[in-house]
Amino acid sequence: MASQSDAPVPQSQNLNDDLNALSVDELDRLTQNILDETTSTRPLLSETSPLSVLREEYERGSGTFLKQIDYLSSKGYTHLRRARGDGDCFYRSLAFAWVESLLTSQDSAFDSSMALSLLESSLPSLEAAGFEGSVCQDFYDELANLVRRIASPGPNEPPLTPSTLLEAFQNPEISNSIVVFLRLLTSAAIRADQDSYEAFLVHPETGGPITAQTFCENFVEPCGKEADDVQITVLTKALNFNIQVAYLDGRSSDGTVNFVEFQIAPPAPGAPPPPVLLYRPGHYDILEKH
Amino acid sequence: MSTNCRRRLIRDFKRLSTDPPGGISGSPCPDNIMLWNAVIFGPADTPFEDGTFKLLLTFEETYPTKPPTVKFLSRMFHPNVYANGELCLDILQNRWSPTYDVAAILTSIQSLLHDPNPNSPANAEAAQLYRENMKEYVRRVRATVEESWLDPEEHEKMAEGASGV
Repeated sequence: MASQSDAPVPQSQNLNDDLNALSVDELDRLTQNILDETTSTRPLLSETSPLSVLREEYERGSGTFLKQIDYLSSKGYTHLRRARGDGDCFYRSLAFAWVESLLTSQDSAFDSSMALSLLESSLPSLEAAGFEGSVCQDFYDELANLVRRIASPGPNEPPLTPSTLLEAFQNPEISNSIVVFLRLLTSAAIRADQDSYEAFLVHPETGGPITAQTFCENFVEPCGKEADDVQITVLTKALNFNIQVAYLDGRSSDGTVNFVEFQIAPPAPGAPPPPVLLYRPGHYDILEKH
Repeated sequence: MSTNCRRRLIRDFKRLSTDPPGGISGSPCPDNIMLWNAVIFGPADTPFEDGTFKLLLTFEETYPTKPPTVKFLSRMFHPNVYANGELCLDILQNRWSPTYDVAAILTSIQSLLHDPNPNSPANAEAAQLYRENMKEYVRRVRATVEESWLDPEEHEKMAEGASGV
């Protein structure tokens, strides 16, 4: 039976539009996939797995998703690093991609020192947003520690490696603290610039207008609340970190995947392309080329 | 025990003992840092004024990622408090953020006494009286205030907690 999604549908990056346009069947399957992930014992962040594994999962489903996965393969993407579907997947994926990019950078010592000073300089903005300093410190420490282990590891401290980085992100205490810190950073940036952001804020459930404070209290600060374009824009800006988001949304008539750049600064000449997060409706993972 | 959880609870206790917000107090049981007894004094200029309402906070290893379970031990008559003492309060459910500490939780509950939300009632009778018959609402609340001063059963529970039995 032909799936409705095979019909040409205009591209959209709006989550609600995407979800509304899905057939009931597809929506069920997506919801089930995501629920399965949430309740499973899947690690908070996994080892990479080949894209073919993802492809297999869609083989009995929509042809459009399969075409889009093949499109990603044709563009040289080979692996997926999955985040658990717990509503924190965007923040967790982004944090990992950020620290990994510092770790693998050509000038790792310099970049990580800059990143550390950026993190330190963010603390006053958290207090200005009304978050208790000593409370923020716990969450800050976990992320800053990882970056510091790249910039200047202590004498008795093993330097950070790709495998100890993954271990850290699989440790719930460290991993969840980092998620909280990024949520606070996002919230503080929105609160600090309410006038600019309020025009772009929509209530994720009603679609109506919402104040910056209500938006932050209900949809940014609590764990488990998914991120949307505003949070992505704000957080990549706060971290001064360019990323791309690839939208694997089953909405493409010709099987291509829409890549959207969240670009803060023009990339340095010769810099590697920015990390790619793979979006599927309601979920983010990390897409990699090996 | 998770170090984050323990470190945070110790810090919460320090903050609560050195710089307590007005009208609240709380401390962990001597033999179990995951169980806290707390008291909220009824805010002035509300029907709850002069009440000393006792609560029990139960923390899991997942704190502060997940909120503690909070319930009143004292009998309450309030639109947002269930008969078993549990509360209907957004920051303890879907609006929880790990930045809230014990002081913030207790302060929020204190302001809930001040400003009930009759639109999400946990006690339908209290919500109805609050909306339609303030005089009767106040009378029922005052009865719980007087009970809160002298409540042998609850005092016994507090004493047990304090002596570590």
